Amino acid sequence: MEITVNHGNEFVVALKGRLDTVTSVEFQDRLQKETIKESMVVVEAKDLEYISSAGLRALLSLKKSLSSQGKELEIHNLNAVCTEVFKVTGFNNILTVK
Amino acid sequence: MKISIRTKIVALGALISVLTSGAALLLTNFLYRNNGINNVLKSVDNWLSNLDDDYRSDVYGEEYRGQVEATYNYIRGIYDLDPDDPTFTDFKSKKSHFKEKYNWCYPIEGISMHYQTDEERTFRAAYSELIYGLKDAQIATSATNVTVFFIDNDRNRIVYLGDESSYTANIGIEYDLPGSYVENVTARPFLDGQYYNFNFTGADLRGIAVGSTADPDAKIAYIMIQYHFQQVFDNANQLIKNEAITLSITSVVMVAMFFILAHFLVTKNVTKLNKTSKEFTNSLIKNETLDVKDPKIKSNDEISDLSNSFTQMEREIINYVSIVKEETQNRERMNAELAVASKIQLESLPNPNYSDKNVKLNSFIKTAKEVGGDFYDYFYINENQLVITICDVSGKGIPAALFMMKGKELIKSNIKSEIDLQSAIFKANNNLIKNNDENLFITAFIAVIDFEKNTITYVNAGHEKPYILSKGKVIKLEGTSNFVLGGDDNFKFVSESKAFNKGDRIFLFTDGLNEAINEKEEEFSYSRVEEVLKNSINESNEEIISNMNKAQNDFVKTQEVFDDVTMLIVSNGNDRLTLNFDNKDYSSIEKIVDTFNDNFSFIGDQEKSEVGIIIDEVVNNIISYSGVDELVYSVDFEINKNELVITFKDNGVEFNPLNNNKKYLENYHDKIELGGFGVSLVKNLSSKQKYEYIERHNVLKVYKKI
Repeated sequence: MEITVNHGNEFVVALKGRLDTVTSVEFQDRLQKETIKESMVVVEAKDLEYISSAGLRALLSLKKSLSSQGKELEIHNLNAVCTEVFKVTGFNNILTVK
Repeated sequence: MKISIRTKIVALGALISVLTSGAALLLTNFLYRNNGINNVLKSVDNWLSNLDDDYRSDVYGEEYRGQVEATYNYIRGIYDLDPDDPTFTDFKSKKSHFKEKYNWCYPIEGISMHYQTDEERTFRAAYSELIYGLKDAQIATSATNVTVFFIDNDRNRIVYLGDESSYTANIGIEYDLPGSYVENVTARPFLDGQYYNFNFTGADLRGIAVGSTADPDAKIAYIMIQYHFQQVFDNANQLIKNEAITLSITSVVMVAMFFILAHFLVTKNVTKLNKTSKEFTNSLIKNETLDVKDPKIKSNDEISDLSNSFTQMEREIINYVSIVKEETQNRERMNAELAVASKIQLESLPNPNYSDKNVKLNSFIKTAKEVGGDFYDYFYINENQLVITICDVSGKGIPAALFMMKGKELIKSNIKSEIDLQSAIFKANNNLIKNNDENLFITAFIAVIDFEKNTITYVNAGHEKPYILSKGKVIKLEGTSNFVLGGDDNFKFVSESKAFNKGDRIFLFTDGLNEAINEKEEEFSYSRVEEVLKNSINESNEEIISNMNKAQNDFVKTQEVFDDVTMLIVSNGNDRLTLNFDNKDYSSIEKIVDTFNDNFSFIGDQEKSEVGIIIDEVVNNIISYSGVDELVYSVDFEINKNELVITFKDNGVEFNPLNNNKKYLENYHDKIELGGFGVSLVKNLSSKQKYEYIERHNVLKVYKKI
């Protein structure tokens, strides 16, 4: 799992690899270190191989935390597997997927 | 610090010069200063005593007794005048006059012609003769002064009568008699007569007493010979100095000559030799064309011997350098050829990695030299039977490589033509022995894997024992160890068979692995091989080889590996993989996914990702909610035609995850900790799921089309 962050107009978190039981912990730890001033956070999922329920929980936690600060979360460029996962779990209705 | 021989010789010369001069000075000083003064005096005495008799008689008191007596009488007469006696007014007035002027002196000039009486004239003549006599005596003895005086014992005074130069000197001058005068009878006389030592002026004075004509014992006056010995000492000192300086100069000159001679005889040649050897070494270092440089030393000594040895050495070096150059070129050509040979040799081996529906095979070979003696091989003899071999040829380099090629082809051709493994190896062995003058041999492990019967039949010809990895266990394949190939004619090889089930793996290696040595001379050994295998049991073939390499490198560290290392790992069934765990470590999930991906690399990427999610969800559940302290679980993958069956088995509390029916996340405020969507994901990503609780184990089978 590679996590790359980039501050700017939007705060972009690029994920590469799998977001699963083990790596979702890394993901949450990594984001906790960041001070997010931007009003928009984008998870760039172009290189995300797959996401398991643990990863989904991590995204949901992020969404909750951002919402409470009046910030928005978007997930960009999900692959077929991830799109399927989002669809199956209903996450596509809760998170903004582009 | 470098000090040249020349400097050393100069320094030594200077030191010797200083020491010689110093010693000369000290010795001269010692001889002439201490004993020397006496010697000088003695020599003066000797010289005087050896004087011609004529000269001696000149100074003999008797000779001039008359004159001395006349002078004495005359002067004594005046001396004894009573200044207050009116009878002698004439003399009295004279005396008082001179008393005032000369303090009791009575100079002879004072006796003027017009006062002359007969008495005065007689005195005058006698006095002149006396002075001449004294002069003669002075000349004869080389004395500083010869003086005549009388002694007035009553008044304790010396009264001067004259000396060798005072024709008109201060006659009658009085001196206090300082202390005593001593008649010295033991002193060696240098003039005849009676001798006295006087201590008047601190100088060593000697005098002769002169008696009166009437009474020779009356001792009317003394003639004193006075030497200024200081001058003698000065002369002697000057002599010492001169001698010392001469000695010093001589020694310096000698040392200089020594140095010049040493230079021409020794150092010049050493310098020459040194220069020549430097020139030669420089051209050697700069890789210039070398020619013999002769120091041209003409002397006939050790240095010329050395010079001859040096030129001989130069010739040898020139010769050797040309040989080395040639050898280097040859070696480079040989190395190039060896590189090609090595490439050809490696190309003669089958692909290091191979897989098909029956088998997954991975290998590794590292040769210690350009060409090695290790090889592996595999080939099908029919649809269901695969032959795998791993061999190590004794010896290294080209002969071993050629023997290896021969061995490899003989094994292959015989196995293909013979009915069974035993007879094939028997024939191959006999063929190898023919024309094996080098007495090379091969250790080999040759096995036939039957994918229908799921057996492995093998002959171990003196080779390292392989390991079977089966159901989470590592088993060393013990059994009959036959003699090596190429060793013994008509040797009867014994083959053995073992079960080799789907999902089992066999790990073969050559002794380069287990016999690698670290700096403490310890072997990597079977036990470390076994340990790595146990730790890697759930990892793919590629990972096992990589782990083994890493473990060996960490073990040997900087130690050079002298032997070829070859590893071969073969799985029965590319369609079966079982992984076993006995911990609650979440990182095992990644290991399972990675091993799955490696092992089933032919499966499509999307399917692999979906399997990854399934593994993550199910194993996460097993680890998180097993409800037991000592969790043991396994994950088994099996491909049956176009379907993958994943079997998860664990010893946790009975729990059917499929009973959770939560399918969708209706609202993100729902409690997400319930783990609901894990199961729904698994269900969605697979075609069928089946849960059973068998023999106190949860068994979940997940079926997925691929």
